[in-house]
Amino acid sequence: MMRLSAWAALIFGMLYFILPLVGMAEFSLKMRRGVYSLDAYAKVLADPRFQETFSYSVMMAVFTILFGVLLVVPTAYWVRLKLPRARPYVEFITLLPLVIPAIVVVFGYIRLYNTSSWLPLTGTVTGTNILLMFGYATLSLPYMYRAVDTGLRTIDVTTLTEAAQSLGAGWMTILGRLILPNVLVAVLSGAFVTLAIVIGEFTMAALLNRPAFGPYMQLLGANRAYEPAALAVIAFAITWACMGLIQLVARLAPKPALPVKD
Amino acid sequence: MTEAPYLSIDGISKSFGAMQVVRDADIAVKRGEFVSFLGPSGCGKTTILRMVAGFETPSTGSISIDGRDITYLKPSQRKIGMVFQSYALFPNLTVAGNIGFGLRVAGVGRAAIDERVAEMLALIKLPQLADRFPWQLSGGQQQRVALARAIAPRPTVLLLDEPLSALDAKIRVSLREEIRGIQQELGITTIFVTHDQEEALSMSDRVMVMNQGRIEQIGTPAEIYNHPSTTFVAAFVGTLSQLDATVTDVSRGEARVGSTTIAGLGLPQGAKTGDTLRLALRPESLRYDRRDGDQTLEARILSVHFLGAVIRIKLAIGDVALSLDTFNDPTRPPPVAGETIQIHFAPQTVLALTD
Repeated sequence: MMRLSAWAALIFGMLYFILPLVGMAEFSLKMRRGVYSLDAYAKVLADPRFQETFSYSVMMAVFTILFGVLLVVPTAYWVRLKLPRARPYVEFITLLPLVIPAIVVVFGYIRLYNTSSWLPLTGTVTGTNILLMFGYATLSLPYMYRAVDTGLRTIDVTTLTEAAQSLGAGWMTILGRLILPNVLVAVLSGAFVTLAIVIGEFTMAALLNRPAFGPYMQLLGANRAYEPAALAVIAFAITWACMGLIQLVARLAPKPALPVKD
Repeated sequence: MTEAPYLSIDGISKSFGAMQVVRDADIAVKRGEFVSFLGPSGCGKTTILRMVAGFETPSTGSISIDGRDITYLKPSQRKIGMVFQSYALFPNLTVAGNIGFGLRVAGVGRAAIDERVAEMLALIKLPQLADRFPWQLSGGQQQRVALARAIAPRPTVLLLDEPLSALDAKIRVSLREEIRGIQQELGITTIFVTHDQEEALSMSDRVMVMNQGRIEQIGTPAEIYNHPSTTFVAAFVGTLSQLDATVTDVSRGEARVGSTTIAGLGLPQGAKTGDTLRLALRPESLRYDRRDGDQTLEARILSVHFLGAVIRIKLAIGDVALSLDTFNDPTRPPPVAGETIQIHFAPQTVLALTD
């Protein structure tokens, strides 16, 4: 009886999630009357604005991930190694983007870095892009920090650091050759969440007036019928591909050095 | 002329806040010597080791190697090899990668690294495991690799921080012999931290016994065991039975224990008639059979513990408990609890403790 209800709950849960997706995917194929076709996808993929905004967002995601890794990995490592008592405070700071709306953050940026400020980042395209990247990094900080911190928890950071130091390694070597490779799966999982956030983000890109994928999706959704559904399916496919990559990398990653039985 | 120490630890102390964990320690280690730091948990032995490694800075005092002051050098600049209790192998590197890490960091060429790694793998008798990752090795194999990694860059001093504690008893015994063999083969100056007295006594040229941040005694294993200079050393190293005694004749080395008088004792300097002191006996000093010059006491058997090759017998003389170790003899009937027997010992084997 228990087994039956467990299966029923599983099937209900799967249907709850899968049916809307199936409906959306089916709808995206109905652009041509009476037959299934990939017209909506062809139209979306052929749209120069799709290519432009998607490649812009991917590029921004890459820079955001690089910046995030450079910021978060050394910080989380240092907090674990030297400032364990500061961990709750650092965690609190990294969680702030979850409670401070993106619109508040971006208005704060605009006020601080407008053309009449001491650092007029919004005055140039590159400056605005940098500002947007900082904004994306802030939004993804809770996920990136958590992922890296969890990865660091699986290794004995202090002893590995001391072992490397006794062998003559400096901080850069320790971080680059030992810590980063050992938390690579965690960094990648944080990186893919960052990618998903950047690809779908609307508020910051729209208010900073940058040609990102989020505002394009919103614009398309407001004016078309079938293309937004095709775009959503494409976005899902990208997300699932990313998750598949995480799984793949996790299998290839180094395992903690627990001894096998003598 | 005495040989100048290779590793010299001069008057170092270490405090963490208000707590002083190492007090004014002076240690001189000769080149190629194997010195063990022995003591209970929290006695400060690992803190001294970590100060030598550079992971802690002494509050006072200095450390030098071969005449060069290293007190304030970074750990990465000291050229000291270290083996940790938890192995600390790098999980993302293979065995060969781990062993060659120190050489790669030092900028040694690829060919030279490969040659040294092969040499180290042969030394630890694991040449077939070069391409394995740490998680594919047993604990004993991991610790061998950790040892090879520490000595591959030819360090000036090797520090071993309880390297055998996490291993099974059998592996521990074989690995300690292996470590000692490698140390003697390479002639590397080594400090070994342990709380296991058997390890310290069996491996070391000299043993330093510590208690509550202070060095109690430094000496050869035989000196530490046979002539402990303090009550703590006597009690911590080996098993000891203690008897309260009163000095009755200093010139004859005579003291009274209960109703028995024991002569020929090595009384401490300055002992006077009427002084009370504590006599201590090792379990192996007590015997069933009497020899010339032996003292005899009558004791009641409290319990008998069969340990295989050895039988440990708990005895009582009045209120005082003693232990007697005797080899297992299958041709003799085993002692029985409750029996009263005569036990014998040579007065020279009695340790007279004053503190």
